[in-house]
This record gives sequence, C-alpha cells and structure tokens, in this order.
Amino acid sequence: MALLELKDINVSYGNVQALWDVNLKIDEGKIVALLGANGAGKTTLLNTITGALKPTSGEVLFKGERIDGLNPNRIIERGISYLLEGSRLFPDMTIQENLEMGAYHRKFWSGRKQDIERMYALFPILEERKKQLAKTMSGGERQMLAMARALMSNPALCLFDELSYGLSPKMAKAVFNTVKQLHAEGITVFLVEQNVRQTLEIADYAYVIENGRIVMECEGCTMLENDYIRQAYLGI
Amino acid sequence: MTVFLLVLINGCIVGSTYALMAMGMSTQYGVARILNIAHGEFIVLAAVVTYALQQSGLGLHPLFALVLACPIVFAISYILHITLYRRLRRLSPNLGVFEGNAILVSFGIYYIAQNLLQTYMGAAPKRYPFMMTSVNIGGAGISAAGLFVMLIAIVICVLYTIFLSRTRLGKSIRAASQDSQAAAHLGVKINSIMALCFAIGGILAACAGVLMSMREQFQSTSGLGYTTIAIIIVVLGGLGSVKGAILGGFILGIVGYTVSHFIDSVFMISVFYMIILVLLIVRPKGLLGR
Repeated sequence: MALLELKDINVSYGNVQALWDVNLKIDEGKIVALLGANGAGKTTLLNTITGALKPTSGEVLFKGERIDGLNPNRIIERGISYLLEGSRLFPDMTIQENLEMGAYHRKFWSGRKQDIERMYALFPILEERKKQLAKTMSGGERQMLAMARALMSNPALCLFDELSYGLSPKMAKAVFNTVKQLHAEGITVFLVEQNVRQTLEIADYAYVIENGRIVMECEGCTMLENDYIRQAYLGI
Repeated sequence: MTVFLLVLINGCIVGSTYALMAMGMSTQYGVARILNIAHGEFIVLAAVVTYALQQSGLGLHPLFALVLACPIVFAISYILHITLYRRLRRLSPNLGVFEGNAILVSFGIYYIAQNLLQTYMGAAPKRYPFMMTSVNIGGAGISAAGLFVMLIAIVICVLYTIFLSRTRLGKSIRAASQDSQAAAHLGVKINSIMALCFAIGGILAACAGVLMSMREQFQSTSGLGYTTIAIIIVVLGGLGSVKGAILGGFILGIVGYTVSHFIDSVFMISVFYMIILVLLIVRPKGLLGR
C-alpha cells in the first residue's frame, strides 16, 4: 500500500480548473519527484495534500485513510510536513526558536528538546549557530534550517517545494545531498522541483505535470533518457 | 545637573506609559495588520473605569482597576475582531486592501466609542487624587505617583517581552507576525492568533489607561491624542516591533518632556512630527524595524 495516494483529483479556483484527474502514488521510504514549469499546478497539488485546498472531486489517501477535507492541523498531526517554497524562516527568531516552531503543534511540543538535539546531530552547523537570528544565514544554510524545521514533527512524509530555488549550483548540490541523506534514514520525501536534472538523479520515481495534468511518470533515471524530457526540460 | 535629572526622570515617567500604548498598537498591527485608530478610546475607557472605581468610595487602590478594565477591554476587542475585522479580512481581495479598510473601520469605531464615552462621562476633565507627595531625587522633586506609574509600566513591559520570548503562545505570535503563512503550515491557528493579538493590544491599552489616570487628567476626547502618539512611536520604533515600541516610547517621552519643560508643551506634537519626518527620510523602517 502506498503511503500517500491521490485518486482522480480535480481542483478549481472558482471557475478556473487547476488540476485535472491527477493520480499519484508515493511509496514509503522513497524519494518521489514532481516536475513541471511555473504555473503547471505543482503548488496547487501540494496545497491539496496539506489541506489548504479542498479538491472538487477525488480522494487523498494517507496510510490508507482519506484526508481530503480534514483541516490542515489534523493533517500535520497525522505526519505530513510541508516546506514552503523559499524556505520561509522566521527571520527575527533564532535558529533554535525556528526549530521549536517546527514542533508547534501540541502533539509534538513536549518532545521538542529531544527533536532539536536530533536535528543538531543531523545538521551540526545549526547547533554552532543556534543563538543567531535566522536572517543572518546564507541561502544554503536557510534551506538546511527549513528542512530541519520541517523534520521537527517526525513526519512520515515530507513535502519539499522548490528546495533548490535561488541557490547557487554548489549550494543546490549540498541540499540535494542532504535529501539523499534523509532518504537513507528512511524518511519519505516528495520533491517538487524545477531543477530537473539533479532531482531526477536522486528520485526513485518521478511525475511530470503540465497544465494541471500528469503527462508522464516513470522511474527517475529512465526519465533522464527520455527524448521528450531531454528536449522540453533539459534543453538537449 | 538637577534640571537634567528632572527632565530625564519625568521624561521616562511619561515614556513608560507611551511604551505601553505603543506596544499594544504594535501587537495589533504586527499580527492582525490593523492600525487601530480607536486605540486611544480604550485607553480612555480604562481610565474612566479607574476613575469610577475611585469615586465609588470603596477605598480600593487605583491599580485594582486593572482587574476590571483589562477583561472588559479584552472582551470588547476580541468580539470586535471576530465580528468585524475577521469578516473584513475575508472580504478583502488582498492584505493591502484589508489594511486600508481596517483603518477606515477603526475610524468608525473611534467615532462611536468617543461619543459613547462623552455621553457617559461628559466633556469635563477627570482627575482623582493619588499619591500627592513628591520625592527628592538628587535635588529634583519628582511626583511619587509618577514613579509608581513608571515602576508598574516597566514591570508590564518586562513581563510582556518575557511572554513573547519564552512561552509557546508568545513564540507563535512572533512567528505569525514574521511570516503568517509559514506559521499556519506549522499548525499555528492564524485566525485565533489574530483575534488574540488584537485583544492583547487592547489589554495593553487598558494598562496604559489605568496608569495614566493616576498621574494626569483626562477627558472623553483625549483618546485621539493618545492614538496619535502611539502611531508616532510605532513608526519611530519600527512597525510591528515590540522592543522598538518600548524604545520609541521612552525616547518620545524624554523628548516631549524636554520640549514642554524648556519651550512650551504646545510644541510637543510638532517636534514629534519633525522626528518622524527626519526618520522617514533617514531610516524609513524605524529604529528596530525589519
């Protein structure tokens, strides 16, 4: 059974339909990628999973149970964590406080001290700078902190929106390496990206979305050899 | 030297209540994004409650009025938010439009509140006797009531900053003011936090009103003057910054007292506006603004 499954999802903003019959599966322990251009419907799809948007039809199943129509807090509680595009840290709070906010939900708050220690073990750079304000960090470090904050609630599934956006190639590489490391620890990751090549290099499975429809899906590495993908997304 | 002490201490006394007023306004703006023109009316309301309690002949200390004024103002502000502002926010296409509309709505509330206050208390200035002695500090005679007010105001400022920096609720308020969408995705219930912050701003206004009434007279029309000063301080300290509000409050208190001591109190507000004018050119985000 898949950890998360979308079945025939349709989503509209008023009269404008944004997602059409989307079917998608994320298996436990895998890195699954969703690729697509700006405005293709990637963030809409994420918002549907996190409960911020309600689908007009279709089902979202998490661990076999329907979660569409639940409010976002119930979904966080069940173990889905969402890292928004652009890291979205709290700039005037310290690194430690940002991490604490990752455990804001009542269910996780009491265990926040152990979780912070766990994050410091995973990202040692954060411990060295725990008293500094988040706004003093570089782009790559911010993304590390954002990932750590998303992991504070011990999620079964992490949704990462545009992790590499705005990072230098070197930083982007470091961030993707971290995702690989999380994967090795058994965390399930749903990567939503524009950086096609690096994403496909680490993804176990990938979907391509265009104009609100899933137009292609396959194992990550075979997609790199697909002519259409090479032409439309890699420009080779 | 004595004059210097006199101006400094009296300036801090005035500034300490300014800080409370501005902290309240800053909290309301920081999360709920409402620049509350009716802020001063809640200060007057709390002052009236204190005055009425003093006149009642129960012989209670005026500080006791906090127990009554804070819940009243909290409740009114909370209800205003969930009935009016929340609805307004839903109807506004974006945050900018909401901020503009919210100012207009708060103007409406200001007129209603001011007229209600005037109906209840009349136009005459109100004052009750409290700690009429003065204390000699380095040759300067300082009013004992003023020192008492400053002490309590500083305690409230300290408690409030501790609340913001140490508690789960306080942290969520700061997070929501810095990035409400990101906070929402971590489980912060933004709608309740906004209503709560608006009401907490009200509580701070109530504290300011109770303390203010202990050392100066007030009347039903005093509210807009308090609001104006609070807006100036909030802009000076940095919109939405609570520490900036405290710093700005004391600065403005000292500057204001200096002007009224050496020149004339009628020039006080003009000097405040000049400070803002210079600030907007030199550092538009305010002293501690983001």
